Amino acid sequence: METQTKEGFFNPRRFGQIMLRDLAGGYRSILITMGAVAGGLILMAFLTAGGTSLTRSHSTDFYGGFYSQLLYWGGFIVTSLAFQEARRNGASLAYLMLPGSSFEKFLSKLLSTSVGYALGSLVFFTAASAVAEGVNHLVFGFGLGFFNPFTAEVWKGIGRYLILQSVFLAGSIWFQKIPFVKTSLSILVFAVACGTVVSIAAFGLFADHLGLHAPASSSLVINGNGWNFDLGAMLGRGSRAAEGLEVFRRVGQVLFYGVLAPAAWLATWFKLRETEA
Amino acid sequence: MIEIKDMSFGYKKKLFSELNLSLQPGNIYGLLGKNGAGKTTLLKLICGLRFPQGGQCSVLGFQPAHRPVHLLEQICFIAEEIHVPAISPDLYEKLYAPFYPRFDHEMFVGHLREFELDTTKRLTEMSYGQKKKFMVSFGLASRCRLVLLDEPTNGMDIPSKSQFRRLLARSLGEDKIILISTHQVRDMENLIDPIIVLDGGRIVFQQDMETASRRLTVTMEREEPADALWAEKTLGGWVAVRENTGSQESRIDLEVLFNTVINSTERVQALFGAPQGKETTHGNAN
Repeated sequence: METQTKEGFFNPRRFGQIMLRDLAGGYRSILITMGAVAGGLILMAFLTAGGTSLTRSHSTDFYGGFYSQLLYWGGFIVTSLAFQEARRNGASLAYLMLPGSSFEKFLSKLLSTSVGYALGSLVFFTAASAVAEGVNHLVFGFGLGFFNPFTAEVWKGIGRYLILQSVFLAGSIWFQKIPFVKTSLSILVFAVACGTVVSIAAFGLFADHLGLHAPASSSLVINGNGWNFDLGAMLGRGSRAAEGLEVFRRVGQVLFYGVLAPAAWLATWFKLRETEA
Repeated sequence: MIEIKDMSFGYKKKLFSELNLSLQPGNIYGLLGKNGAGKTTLLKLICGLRFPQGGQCSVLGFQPAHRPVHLLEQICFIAEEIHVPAISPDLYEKLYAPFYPRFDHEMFVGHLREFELDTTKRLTEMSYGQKKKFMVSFGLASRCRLVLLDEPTNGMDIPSKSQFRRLLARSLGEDKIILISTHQVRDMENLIDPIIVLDGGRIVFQQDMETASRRLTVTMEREEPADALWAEKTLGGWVAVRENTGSQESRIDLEVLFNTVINSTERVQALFGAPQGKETTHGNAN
C-alpha cells in the first residue's frame, strides 16, 4: 500500500517543472498584458507631462502612484486567477491529474503570484517608466521624475502586498466563479463585521471615556491627509483605557503581519488537496 | 491492480452503492452503460478526481483520493472534453513529458506521424478531433500503467478510428490496464475485451467476449421469438439472443450484447453468474 515519502511530498526537480509549466504555459497572456500595461503607462505619462507643460503644475510621484495600482490591483487580479485552472471545467482535470504533489502545486502558485509578481512587476515597471521618461524628455524636454524602485515606500508596499495577496490566493481556490469580486466582497463583509464587533466592544469597555466627558476638543485631528479621531487623546493619554487600546492595536498588528498570511496559505493548501474535478 | 470494494458515491442522488470491481493488467476493458449510468464518474473515482463516500478504492496499490504523485505519474486520463493550453505541440512535450518517467519521445513522434497531425499549429488552433488525437498520442507515449479513455473516438474521422485502434492494441503491455468508456461500441469492436456493463449503480456484467460467445448464441429469425433472452427488430427480421446450448462459439456483436444485458439483466446474470460473486438485489427472472 502507499507510503507518503518526502520525495512524494516535495521534489525540487518536479517543483521546478511545475513552475516552468505555470509560467511558460501562459507566456502569451503575460506578454500581451505587459505590452498593454507598458503602452498605457507611456501614454498616461505622456499626457500628464503634456498637461504639466500647459498648466505648469507638477504632479507629485506619478510613477509611485501608478506602481501602487499595478502592484495591488494587478497583483490581486492575477492572484485571483491563479487556481482557476483547478476550478474550471475541463482544465481542472488536466491540472489535478498533473503528477505533482498538492504542496508543490500550491507553492508554485504562491511564489509566482507573490514574490514573483512583486519583483517581476517592479523590474518591468522600472524599465517601462524609464522608457516613458525617455519619451517625455525627447518630446517635452522634461519628465515627471524617474521611478526609484529602492525607496522604503516601495518595499513597504510590497510587504503589505505579500500579506494581502494571500487572502486573494485563498479566494482563488475557494471560489469557482469571479473569485476576485467574491474575495473583495468577503473582505468587505469581514471588515464590516469586525468593525461592528470592535465598535460594540469599545463602547462597552471604554464607555466612560467616549461620552461627553471625553476631551473632544483635542480628539479630532484634521490635517493634509483628511480627518481622523485621535483615540489616544479621547481616552486620555497614559490612562488604563489608552493602554488597553494599545493592546488591541498590537493584537491587530500581530494578526495582520504574523497570522493572516500563514493562515490563508494553509487554507489554500488544504482546499487544493480536497478539490474535485 | 484496481480493486473497488463496496464503494458508494453520489451527487444529490446516490449513484453507486456497494459497487465492486476488480481489473487486472494486460487487458483493454470496455466500460459500457446508458447515459447517466456513471461511467465518467467511475473513471474519475479511479483516478482520484472524485472521492468515494464509502467503501474502498485501490489503484496500483494507492488510494487515488489522496492523488499521490507516484500514482499520478502512472495514470493517463483522456476525458471526453479536451482542454489544451495555447502552446505548440513541441512546447507541450517540453513542459509535460518530464512529469512521466517512462515517456518515450520516439513513440510520441511516431504516433503524431501516424495520425498525420500538423505539429506547426498551436494546440488551441486544432480541431476537436485533432486535439483528441494529439492527447491520445501523448498519453500512450507516456507509457503509463493505467490508461483511462472517456469516449476516445468521439470527433475522430474514419481513418483515425482505425489508426487509434491500431495504436492502442500495440501499446498494451502485460503490466498495463486500459479502460475505455464508450457509447461507440462499433468503433471498439474487436478491441475491448473484457466487457463491463454499468447499470443502476452496479456492475451488472463483466465477462470476456470468448465466454460471452460460448454462453450466448445469436440467430436471425423471421418472426419475433418468444423464448429469447433478448430480441430486436432489424431489416428483414429479428435478431434473437439465446443461451448457447451447443458447443460451438457464436459471434455476438457488442451492441446486441449490451442490449441483452441491459434488458434482461437477471436472466443474463443467472446464466453467467453475478459479477464479483455478488448477487443482485433483484430476484432471478427465470
